[in-house]
Amino acid sequence: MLQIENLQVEVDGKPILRGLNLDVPAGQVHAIMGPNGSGKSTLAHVLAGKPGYTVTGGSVRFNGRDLLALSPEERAGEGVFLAFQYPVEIPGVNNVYMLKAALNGIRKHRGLPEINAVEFLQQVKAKTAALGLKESLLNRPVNQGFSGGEKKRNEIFQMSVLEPQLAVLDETDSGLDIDALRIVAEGVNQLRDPARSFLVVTHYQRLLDYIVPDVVHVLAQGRIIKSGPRELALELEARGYDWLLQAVA
Amino acid sequence: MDWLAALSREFAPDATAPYADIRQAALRRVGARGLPTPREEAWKYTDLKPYDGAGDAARSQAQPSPLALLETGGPQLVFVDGVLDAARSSLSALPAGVRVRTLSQVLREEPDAIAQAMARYTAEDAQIFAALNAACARDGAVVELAAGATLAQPLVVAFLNTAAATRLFTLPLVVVKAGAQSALSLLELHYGAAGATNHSNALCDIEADTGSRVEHYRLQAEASGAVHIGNLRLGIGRDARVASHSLAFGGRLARLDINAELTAPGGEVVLNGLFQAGAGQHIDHQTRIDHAAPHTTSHELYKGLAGGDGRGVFRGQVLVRKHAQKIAARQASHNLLLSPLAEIDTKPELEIYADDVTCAHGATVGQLDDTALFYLRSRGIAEAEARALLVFGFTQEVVEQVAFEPLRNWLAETLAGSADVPLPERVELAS
Repeated sequence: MLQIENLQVEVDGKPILRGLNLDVPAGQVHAIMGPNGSGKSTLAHVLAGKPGYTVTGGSVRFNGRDLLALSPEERAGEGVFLAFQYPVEIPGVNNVYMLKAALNGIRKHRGLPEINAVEFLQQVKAKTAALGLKESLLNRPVNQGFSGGEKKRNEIFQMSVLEPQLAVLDETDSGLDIDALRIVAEGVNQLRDPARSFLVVTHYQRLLDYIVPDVVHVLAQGRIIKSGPRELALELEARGYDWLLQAVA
Repeated sequence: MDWLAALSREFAPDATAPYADIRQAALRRVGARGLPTPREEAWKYTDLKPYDGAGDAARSQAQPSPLALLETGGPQLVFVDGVLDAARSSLSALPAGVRVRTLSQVLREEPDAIAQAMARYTAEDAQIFAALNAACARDGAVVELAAGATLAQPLVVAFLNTAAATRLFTLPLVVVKAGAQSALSLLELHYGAAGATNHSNALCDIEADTGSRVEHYRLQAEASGAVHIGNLRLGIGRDARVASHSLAFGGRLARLDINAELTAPGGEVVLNGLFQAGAGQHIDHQTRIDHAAPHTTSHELYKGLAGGDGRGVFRGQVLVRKHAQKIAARQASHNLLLSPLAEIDTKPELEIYADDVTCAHGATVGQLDDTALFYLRSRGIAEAEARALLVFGFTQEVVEQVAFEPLRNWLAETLAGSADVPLPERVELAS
């Protein structure tokens, strides 16, 4: 589904990703772990098309298409979703209104007609219930006045409505206490599907206790330096990153 | 072209006219003073010179039409090119104690009913365009509420301008006298059809007596070839509350001066504003709130948008007089620039002479938030629509305070619909 080859990315002339290779097949959960400053968030942002990054080499293919040639909204239309580390507050625009615009934007990209308003509301209500989200949050401005946990849950809720093929979770665990973390992880697990892949970017392994990955990759100095099964995350938790960095150096 | 010459040609007040002495005095003041220039503080950002002649009719575009607001079935007076359109006006079923007449009728039958209000504009410090209107206005609306009377359904007074107008100037005048404990909701609507090149010089004078409640909406959607100059005076008595919402979208030049006078304890004024200056437009608001009595309250919130080479101006004066203790005044002016050529000047001016007061003010001029824009786009919303959504969100704080539902819905649709119009150029951030 997602094939990244020799990806090189700069920010303000400074190389961040230096030849990253990654292959995520359909239906799998891949975790990206790594020390601070290794390029984890850069990878998440580049996949979603955030402005401010310069790709200097390599390629990213998504279902065979050149993802890097697409605008952020086209990527969403193709089925890419980024759950933000810091979800953005948008005053004056309510959650449901934004979601409807988003869903219709994606449907338009796929040549589908706009969704029927009644059908949409039913879907949304069913999904709020499934995620244990308060219905009152739906009519509040996007993320405004939400607690940290509510913001992250709102990201997962948006994901559940937009039904992406590839969900990139950027440090979704940051700032969450253990209860909120479990609720968010349960939401993600509900959405696991043979046709859907997840790229879970995280600094700590505790998230992976709840969202169990198929493969764990270690990102350091802009490259994947080691990949392994789930147990690799536990080893990193116990031993840190230094032994790996030294082995590479 | 000389504005004053054109005005006196089109609207010469004759000596036998009602309160002719007052009209003559106002006109003499105008003649003696001439038109304001940018050397005056109040006109620093608005130079009238380029707007001397008529606009280009062929290029005068209409704003989204608010004419559906004339279909609500409520009481209304409609003027087309300054003349009453009786067929579209309806004053049946006004509740007891509510009297609405045309200005022309009042001038014929009972000019004294407004002589006192008009006399204000002969004063030395009267704004020049207000004085001109007071001196020359021929038609408009006179609204009187007896003590305790209530007009719940909003009264709509509409001034429509068309390409067929034979006069350059229109002088809409609305005079409101709200008696003690009365309540009134009023929509003052100015609209120009495509091709209109009118110069409108509007005046609205509202006197709210003890304990009265007045909700005033002023929707200005003149055509893009029009010049619109307005004056609004709010006299707010003891325990009275007046809320006035200025919603300004049209005109190549649009200027509104608001003077709110809190003359007795317990008085409260709310001034809300929303303006959108697109390419080729200049929209200027000058507001002045005079806390002339203790225990008075003012809330002011203005939101401005400028795109293309549009220009917005906001000046918010708040005067707290020496004896006006225990007053509360809050002012906020927030503005968004939607293109690199757009400009908005905002200037809070607080003059406080009392020492036991609560005053707060804030002014910002910014651009659309890139992070929010990326957030929406990453959800699948196309860039133009995402920008329109952020603009829509920015305006909601003002729109939500519009209690007249058809107007609120019209605003929401108009603002959300701006996704359909070509958005102004923007500077691409280096990526």
